[in-house]
Amino acid sequence: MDTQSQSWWQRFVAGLNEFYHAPYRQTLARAARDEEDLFMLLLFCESLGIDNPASFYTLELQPIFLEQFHEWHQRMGMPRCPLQHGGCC
Amino acid sequence: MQSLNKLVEQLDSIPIVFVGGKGGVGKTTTAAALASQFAANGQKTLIISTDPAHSLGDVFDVKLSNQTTTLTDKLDALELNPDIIIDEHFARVERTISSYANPDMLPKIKQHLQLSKSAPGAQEAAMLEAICRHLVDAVEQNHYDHIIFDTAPTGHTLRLLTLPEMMAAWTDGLLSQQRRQAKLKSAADHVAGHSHKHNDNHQHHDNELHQPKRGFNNPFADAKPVDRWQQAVEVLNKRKALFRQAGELLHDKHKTALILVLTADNLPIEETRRAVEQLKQAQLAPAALVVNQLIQLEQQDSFWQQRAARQQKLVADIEHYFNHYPLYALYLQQSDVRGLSQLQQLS
Repeated sequence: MDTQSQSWWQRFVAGLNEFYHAPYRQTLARAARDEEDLFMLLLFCESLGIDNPASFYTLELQPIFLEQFHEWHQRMGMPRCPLQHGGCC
Repeated sequence: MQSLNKLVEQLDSIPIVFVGGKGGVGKTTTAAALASQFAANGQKTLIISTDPAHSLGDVFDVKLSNQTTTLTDKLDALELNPDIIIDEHFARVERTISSYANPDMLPKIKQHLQLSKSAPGAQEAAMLEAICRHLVDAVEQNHYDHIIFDTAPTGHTLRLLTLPEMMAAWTDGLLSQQRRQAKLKSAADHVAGHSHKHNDNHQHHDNELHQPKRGFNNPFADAKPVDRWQQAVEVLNKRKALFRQAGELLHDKHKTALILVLTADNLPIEETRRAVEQLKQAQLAPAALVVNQLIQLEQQDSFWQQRAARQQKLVADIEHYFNHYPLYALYLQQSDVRGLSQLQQLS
């Protein structure tokens, strides 16, 4: 968006909009992240030593989530990667 | 108690038969005898051993493998080899993953898979999938009149039998969880008031992202990166459907019969009572019980006479405990039962 072409009024309305929406956005994003954190745990629990026969049937999802694995284990209070091999750090 | 050929009659129209029971009670022999007698009656039969310590080949006196071996024109046999099955299973998973994984991540993912392969439970998981595939194929392709599983000992078998339902519940939960999350994400994006082209983790039917609306999906429209999530979910859904079908077949009395084999001894009787209880919890019931290694009541020798008297008492117990189920008797043979002709005469 080119801010120069906007009137100050338009920018004021946009600012108001932002003021109204920001807290909601944050809450929703946080909820989405919490859900994803749980999902992550379910996917990788067998690799983390938690018995779950179903883990073997969801291996196909792992590559998609492995990319966010590093942020996840740090968020979960594990500074080092908990996976023995093929881990991130 | 009736003789074994009556059991063959009872199972005449049942396509899938599982033969379970404690180790050493003669499961494999019973399964092989049933298979041989179905085949002798002109019904095309496949017998599959799922026990990692195979003895099916020994009973038939034939070397069997992971490939179907033809014993007669009516009888085929197969010993599922866990090592081969797990290798194939993981090779398949790797192929699927390679088509959508981030190339930079691939070596790590492969390493990770290699490790998962040796995890406890991996073999069981791969085996179960193979068993379900055989089950569903047998009924769909209608290639055989009967398919008989000579299963591993009771507890393990039962876990295998109930796992499909658990699995289905679990993957359902997983997928709906992901769907909810996609909704939350897109809600957050909506509130953001500007569109993100970031829709990796999206299911197309709740694709609420602000994509330019096209009248129809033209596969050649533009070379968008394929939705990876969608690809993975497709594989999962196929697997789920397989488990659901197998589960339905297992619970269909007209399609599947569970036979429990026991001997007239205290431990197998207790074990069988537990097995029946566990089956009940999975809403299943044995179609019949086979009491193996019985001896005739009139014995010349005083030692055997005492054994026979004790056995009679235990048989009475069996008839008392399992009065809801048809009981079939198999008598102790002078020598080991080996090969087709002996198996066909076993009754």
